[in-house]
Amino acid sequence: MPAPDTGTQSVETGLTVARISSYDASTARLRDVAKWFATSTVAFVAFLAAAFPIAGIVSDVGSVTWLGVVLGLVILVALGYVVALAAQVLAPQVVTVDAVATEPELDGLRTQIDGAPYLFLGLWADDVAGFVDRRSEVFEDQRIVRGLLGDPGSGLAPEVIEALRERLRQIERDLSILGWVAYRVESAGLYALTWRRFRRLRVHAALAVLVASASLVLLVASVREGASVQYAGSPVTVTFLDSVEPDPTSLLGVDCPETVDGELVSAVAEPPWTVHVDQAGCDPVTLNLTADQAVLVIHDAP
Amino acid sequence: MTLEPGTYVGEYHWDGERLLRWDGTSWTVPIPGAGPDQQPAVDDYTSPSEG
Repeated sequence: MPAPDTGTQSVETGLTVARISSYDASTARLRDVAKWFATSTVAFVAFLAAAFPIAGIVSDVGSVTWLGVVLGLVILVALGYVVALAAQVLAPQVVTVDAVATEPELDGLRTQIDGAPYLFLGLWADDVAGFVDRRSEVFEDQRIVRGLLGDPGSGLAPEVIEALRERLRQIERDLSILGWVAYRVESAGLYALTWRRFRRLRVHAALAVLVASASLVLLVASVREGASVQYAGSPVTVTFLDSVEPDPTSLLGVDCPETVDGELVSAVAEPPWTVHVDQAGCDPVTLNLTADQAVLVIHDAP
Repeated sequence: MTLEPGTYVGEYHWDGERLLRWDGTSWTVPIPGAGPDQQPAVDDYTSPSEG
């Protein structure tokens, strides 16, 4: 049996540890950038929202349109999408060697490994699938040798037992290094996956900001359009419906006619209306009217 | 020298001097570390009829 070359093995293990540290550090850095990126994106849209006095306009108009609600939801969904993508980058994930060998998301890394397998796998295999097979074979070898050594009825000669024990030591040394190499591949896999998700976050966050910004502008435009149609101060004629009890005109003064003129106090044409009565013969009161109490005719403002 | 083929892949055999391992087609000498994990045995153990 050749003597085990432990010197070479420790160099390989040392290089592997260095490479793993490098990948792990890069993955952590990428996650920090993703956090900053998502926070900046949401803060940017929040800044835009704060720059438009939407709440004030809506409260002036006194109503929120369906279009406004839909646009508001689009903004929230766009920002929520950015946060969800960032969460995918930040969430810890287990990446196995088998996943690196098969997952479509890790195609890029596989191509990289196939181009220079010795950088990732040493001389253990030429590609990740081969590495998985090699490791499985060594595990199987370990199982067989342990089985032989553990079988009390095998009747093996002492020199055979010694040779098998030496073989088991070799196998376990190999498994130890294979474990480090697997860790290196898994670490590279996690980095590749994080990088891929970060790239998706970058592109989709840019799109989400565009959609959110456009929706914000449309929201403000739609609210301003609603706000621009102001009916407050328009002259109106109110005809009370017969079904209203007691007869409203009896409350407005004995000389008050059934149809009264006034001025619209509320801002929109839709009921309920607030009307200030300025009809001659009627008390100068302010009425709150609903559609089943009166018919309202709004005249063009003078 | 002749040796019967192994019955399963990974089977070990002691030939009096060293451990041999059946790789499915021939008896080989297992070697540790990266690179090939086995080398063909110098003796041709695969064809007992030719031994």
